[in-house]
Amino acid sequence: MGALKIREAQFEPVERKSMHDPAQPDYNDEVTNDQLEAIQARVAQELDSDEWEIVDGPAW
Amino acid sequence: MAQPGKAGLSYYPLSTLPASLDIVWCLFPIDEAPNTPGPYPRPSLVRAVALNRDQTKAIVNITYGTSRIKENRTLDLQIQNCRSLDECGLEKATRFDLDKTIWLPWAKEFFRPPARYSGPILGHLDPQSCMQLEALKVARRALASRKRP
Repeated sequence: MGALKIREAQFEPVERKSMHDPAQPDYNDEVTNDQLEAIQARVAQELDSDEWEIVDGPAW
Repeated sequence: MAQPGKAGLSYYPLSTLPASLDIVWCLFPIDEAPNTPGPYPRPSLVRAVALNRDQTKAIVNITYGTSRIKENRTLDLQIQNCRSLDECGLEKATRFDLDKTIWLPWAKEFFRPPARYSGPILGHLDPQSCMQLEALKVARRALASRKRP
């Protein structure tokens, strides 16, 4: 029973305070589709200005 | 030396280019200012890398990471155990939303490390997480084929 509890505990979400940089903001928020579209629109001119060839990936 | 882009972007030299499945620090936009890079870096997973015709500049296809773990997002890559976090260079349990990818110039405006990091590449996906990703790819393909008419 004790071993079972230990095994379950290994899969609890981990936050290692000892390594956490207080100056680094959390990234707990999520990115919406609207945000993605907005940033893609911002860089569209840059991306359209050249021809691109994939040299690595896609990984999924 | 960084290459100037047409939009005034400061491209990183190609010698600093990440590989697919590298984890990089990316300034994703936030709600308050969706048209500009976000105010702080967050870990993002590299899906693909592309070069321009002259091979002087690169763009990378990434998905963002969030520390908001969601048990019901079973088709996202969620890295939670200590060993994987260590090998990936992540400080917190992190979920990568595989549905939301974006192409961004490999430039300082979008890929900037926090103060104590020397570069924008944080680490590489560890073998266990790679296996998890492979399983997710199979599950995603199966789901997509079921949805097809």
